[in-house]
Amino acid sequence: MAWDLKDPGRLTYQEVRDALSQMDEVDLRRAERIAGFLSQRLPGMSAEDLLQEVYTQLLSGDRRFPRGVHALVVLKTAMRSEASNVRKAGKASPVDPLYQPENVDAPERRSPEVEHLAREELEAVVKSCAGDSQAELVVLAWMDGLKGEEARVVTELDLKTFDAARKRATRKLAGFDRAREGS
Amino acid sequence: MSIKSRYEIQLDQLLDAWFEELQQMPAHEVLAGESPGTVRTRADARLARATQEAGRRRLVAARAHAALDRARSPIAVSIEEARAYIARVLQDTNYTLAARQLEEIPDEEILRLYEQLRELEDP
Repeated sequence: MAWDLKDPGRLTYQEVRDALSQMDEVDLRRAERIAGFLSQRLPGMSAEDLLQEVYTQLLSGDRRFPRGVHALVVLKTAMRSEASNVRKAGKASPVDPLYQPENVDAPERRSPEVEHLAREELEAVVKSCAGDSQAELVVLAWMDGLKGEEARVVTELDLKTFDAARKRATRKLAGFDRAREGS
Repeated sequence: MSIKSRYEIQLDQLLDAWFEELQQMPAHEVLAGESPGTVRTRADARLARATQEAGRRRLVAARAHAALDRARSPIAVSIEEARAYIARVLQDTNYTLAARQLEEIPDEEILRLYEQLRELEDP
């Protein structure tokens, strides 16, 4: 996909540049944290590589930057998609021959191998909370799509304990216990 | 459109929930002792590298697109129009080629010459 100037729902090249350059430092660091999380199990791609690749795709027009959506949300979505593409390109090609890594907007095909990769990734995320059973419970609730009070009820933790566990889980997944990767 | 597996859906849900928590995390916790200036310097360098690489990719894509267009589209001009165009260009550029010489050039060669001149005009 290239720049489609007839699409009013996407930012222009200059608007993409402005949106990225005007992000504040805290959101920039959040974007790096997300890149760190998503790149942990990527073959041959650091957090900085992933983030820069997504910047490049948005600036080249290969990826759409929707109008009216916060830059951090766009980066998160794009990094998730790119990480998934990289993982499939690296490991799934023998059983997923119709996958086309050069076209990020192509319809995606699934295979048992791709599902296996997602399962492996989930298991690794849960493992990052190993030794903290309460944080692990929070992560499992999040995986099931539960948030806030719904998640607390499922974990059967009291409000204060859940709140502390939620914060610990957030920090563990954000890699606060690891050295900053790739940057 | 994409059809996601159960594990991929769970991964997306986990990322969404965690992302919400990360957005609510106070600034000093996100920065974790790092100065905003250091983060900004890193981001500026990233943007500069990405801008350069994006420009290179756009150029490669534009060249490939132009080559494909040339290969696919027949020359939409008559021999008479092509001859008139070439004669006009020759005159404008003070190129010395007699009208008789131009008439002697075969039609196929005229079309090729016409295409080359148009490419020079619209790079």
